[in-house]
Amino acid sequence: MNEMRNKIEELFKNGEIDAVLGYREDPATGEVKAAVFKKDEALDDMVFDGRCVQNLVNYLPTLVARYRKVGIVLKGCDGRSLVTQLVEHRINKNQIVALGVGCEGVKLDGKEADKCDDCATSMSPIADYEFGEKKHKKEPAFSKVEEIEKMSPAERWKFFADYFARCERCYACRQICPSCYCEICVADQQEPKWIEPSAKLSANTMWHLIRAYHLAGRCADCGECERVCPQEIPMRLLNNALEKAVHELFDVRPGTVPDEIPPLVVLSKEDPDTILEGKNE
Amino acid sequence: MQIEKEPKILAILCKWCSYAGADLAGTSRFAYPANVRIVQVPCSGRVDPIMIFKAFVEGYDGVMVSGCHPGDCHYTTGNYHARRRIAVARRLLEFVGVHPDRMHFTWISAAEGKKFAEVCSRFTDKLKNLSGTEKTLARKELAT
Amino acid sequence: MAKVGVFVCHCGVNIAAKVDVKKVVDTLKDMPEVGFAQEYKFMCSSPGQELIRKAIKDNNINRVVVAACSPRMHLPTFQKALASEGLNPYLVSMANIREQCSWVTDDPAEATQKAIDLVARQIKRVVHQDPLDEIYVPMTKTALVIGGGIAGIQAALDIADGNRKVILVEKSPSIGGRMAQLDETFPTLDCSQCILTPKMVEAAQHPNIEIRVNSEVKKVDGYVGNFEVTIEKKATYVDAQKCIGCGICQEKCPVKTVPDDFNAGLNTRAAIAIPFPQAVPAIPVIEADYCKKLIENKCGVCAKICPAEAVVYDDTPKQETVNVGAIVVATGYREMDPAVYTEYGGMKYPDVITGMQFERLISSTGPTGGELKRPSDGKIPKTVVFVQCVGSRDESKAHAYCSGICCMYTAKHTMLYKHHVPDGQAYVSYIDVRAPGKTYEEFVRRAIEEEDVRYLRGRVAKIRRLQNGQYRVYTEDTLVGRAVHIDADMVVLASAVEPQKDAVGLAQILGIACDADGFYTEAHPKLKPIETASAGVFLAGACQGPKDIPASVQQGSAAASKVLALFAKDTMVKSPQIAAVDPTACTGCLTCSYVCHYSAIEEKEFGKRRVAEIIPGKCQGCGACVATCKGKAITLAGFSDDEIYEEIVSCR
Repeated sequence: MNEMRNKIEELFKNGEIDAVLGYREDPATGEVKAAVFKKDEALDDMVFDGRCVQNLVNYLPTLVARYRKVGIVLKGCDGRSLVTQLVEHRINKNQIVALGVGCEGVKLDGKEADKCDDCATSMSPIADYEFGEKKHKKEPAFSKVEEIEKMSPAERWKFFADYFARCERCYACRQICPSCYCEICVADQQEPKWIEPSAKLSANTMWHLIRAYHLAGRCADCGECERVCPQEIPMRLLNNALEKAVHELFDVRPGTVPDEIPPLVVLSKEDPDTILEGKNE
Repeated sequence: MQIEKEPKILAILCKWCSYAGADLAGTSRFAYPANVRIVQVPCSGRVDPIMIFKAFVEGYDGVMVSGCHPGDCHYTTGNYHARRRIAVARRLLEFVGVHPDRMHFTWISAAEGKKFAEVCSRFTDKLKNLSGTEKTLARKELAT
Repeated sequence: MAKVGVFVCHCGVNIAAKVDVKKVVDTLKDMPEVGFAQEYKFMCSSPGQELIRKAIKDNNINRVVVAACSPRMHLPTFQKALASEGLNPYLVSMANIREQCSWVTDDPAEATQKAIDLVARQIKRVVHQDPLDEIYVPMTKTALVIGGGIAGIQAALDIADGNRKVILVEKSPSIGGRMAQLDETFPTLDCSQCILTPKMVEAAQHPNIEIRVNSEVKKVDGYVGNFEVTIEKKATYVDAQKCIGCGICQEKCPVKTVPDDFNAGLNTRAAIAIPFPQAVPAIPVIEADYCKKLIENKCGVCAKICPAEAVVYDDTPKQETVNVGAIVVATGYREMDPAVYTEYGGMKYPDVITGMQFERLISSTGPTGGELKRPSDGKIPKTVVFVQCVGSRDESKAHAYCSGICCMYTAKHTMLYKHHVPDGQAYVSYIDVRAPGKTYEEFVRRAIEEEDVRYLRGRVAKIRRLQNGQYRVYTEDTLVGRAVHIDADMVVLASAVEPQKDAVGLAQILGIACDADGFYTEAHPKLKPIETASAGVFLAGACQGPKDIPASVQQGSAAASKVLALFAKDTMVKSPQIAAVDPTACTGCLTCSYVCHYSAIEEKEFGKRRVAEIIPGKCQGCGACVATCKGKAITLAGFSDDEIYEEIVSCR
């Protein structure tokens, strides 16, 4: 942590950055929150540990609009989501200095978050500077997805219908996701009403299907959507199912290569037609 | 009105190949079940999976998308993009519990009138086997 | 408020035999959107269309649904009917109750119910159809031909003879291309220069053709009818207006080490030189990397002795932007360098040469004045092995494709060899002999039967240089099943036809595609070999794929005919069913640009943001971008989300 503070001070000093996005521990309450540290501000409150759950990339576009160049503290999962932002030219690499931190996992409600069980990249894949240890990489596991895949179609629908029925359509999942940045979300469009506004099962189903589909090949599995859902819907399940599918179909993992073309717009003449077939065909 | 006993199929067809193939089925008088509803798009590349999701929510028993054979797309590359999108959409729908037999994605050329009719008939038969299982995703007021 | 007129056609008995047309009308006429509903026997007939016109006039309808045959049959007919009554032609929709209903449904009750549903859907849909105005793209009636080889020259001449202006851009100092390097051509054994130079001169003198040599296309903006092309002329250091083509500069230049590309690298030439004697224009160019004056400010002899004072040492590249309406790409091919075939010496053996090098050796304007001499010692080769398919039909080391011209030019080479060296013996190592053109097969037979050329079916495994200066060619005669070796004085490798080195770069500038081998992709391999995916850009000659001179000439003329057809109109009418971006809804992620085959999507500034913009002239209306945009910022007129949504959800 000190190493990182020193580097940040150095970067402020030589004028390379004008602000840093990091985590601050409120000395009064002990709460850890996302924060912007400006030049000449003390960095004593800056922390990095298992309480640093927020994905800071969500705040990056606003910050780079305001400051010329910004430093950002990145866990492995957050770094992956930064890669998506770069691939989609939402942010230019020359607007940021990536401060990768080796993450040991974050805690939610006192225990380690589910997403950390399957963590593949403890260190951000984009890092101008690395701090802490880079844990050995694991291949992302899809154990929860595979459990669902063992169920019959009727069982699966029962499982998901129960959750979709609970959805309040608060869109917290959408607001917290760095990859959800459409000027006018399709869910808010009325002509036509692809997704009806009321929070009934059919419309909620449309919402969750579209959300997952729009993130296919782009979701970095930062897990924030699941963390913020007030109904505790297992949001990551759908995203992970498609991450598994995109990997099996097209041999790519989102959030790994910064100038890769997003898989759903890659022009491939070689995809076999069998990818269109169902399991029984 | 739908013929109540027959499964309802939405077929999204590309204008240059598959829709023409469906027309050829008509010109050649190859009959197929009456509950197939065809929507024309300029290219299979125009097909947004939101249309497929909506079709199931609106109560269709089965959804079919067909375009030009790979390599023959009138717009050269549209069907390659369609192939990827629809493959991912299928995986998602199967994952949440739509039976794989309810989706049929294929390539039908303007010369394949007979194939179009046969595809519709076979698809209808498969869907009949599923009647009795829930029309997954469908709005409660439409679900059987 | 939309008011739909519904017309249900009997089509004689084609529809009426299965569909109860009256019931369809009766069921649907009470739909809130419907202001008028009628049945008729033949809607496409004049009286049928008159019914539509009358309803528009008398019943105030502003949308029309015709329930009849397929829109692929008669939609334009009904669009014209609307237009004739002052209603926008894009406000009509057809319900296909013939090909997709009455003709494919056995039970009349089912057919009728299906017809009712199909028509109801179109009624719901047509309400969301917007009036669209035809797009008129103005036409600049000047053509650009890129490449001054035989295909480009032919295209330029045909367009110019059609009374249109042509700018012919050529990278090298002279037009003529590969054909100018040839000695004699198959199957006639015409002297290549003799049949080519009249065309070159005609192009140079044609009042409608402006030749720009030493020039390259750097940038293309705009779209068909209205291209803005930036052409860069390189620094040549010779004023073309003053030069009289006497050639004394070339004689007196002290530098003689410039590799001579025209002679396929067999010799070197002066730093200031005309590329070949029959060059058009015959104006020399200074090779800046070799010129003593330009590098170290010494010498300067050419400027001193030039009688016309045409040498200009402070020349710089110049760019100019021209407006053209169509582009013909005729950039030709290059011969592959077979150095990758190390088993043949890796092009280190001086007497193992390529087809083009052989062509230059026997050519009277070549480095040996037309005497066939071995490059190593100047001796006349008495045994020559010609190896076909070097780099072609060889997926493992080079190209899988057949280069198309080598079987014929190898047969030609063997004949010309025998004319030069009557007591010589020629061998040809071949896999197949491809001689498909007119009198081509007979030509090959002449080589075998009259010139005693020995054709051995088998691939050459290795070529080894012997102590005595000869080359042992290890091959086989598969027809008798025997390995064979030949001690040859010279070996000629028929090296593959490849696209030009910068073919991919030019493709990107033009917005056209290359296939996996680097040849330019045509719009349809069978039926549209001249057009590309970019409207207004046409292909001619070997840049589209290996081909011989007659085929290149054909394509040049074909491209010209496409251009002249385009220029026959003053404006181009384009379907308005194209896509458009709403900049207020666009995030500028430009993910859509990846899926556009026509390069129609560009970046644009919108206040402080960047957004996507679709060039109307380039968009072909496929909708791939529309389906890509997650935020639905792109609309496809005629197939918008609104329209498709209605067709999907209207289940009655």
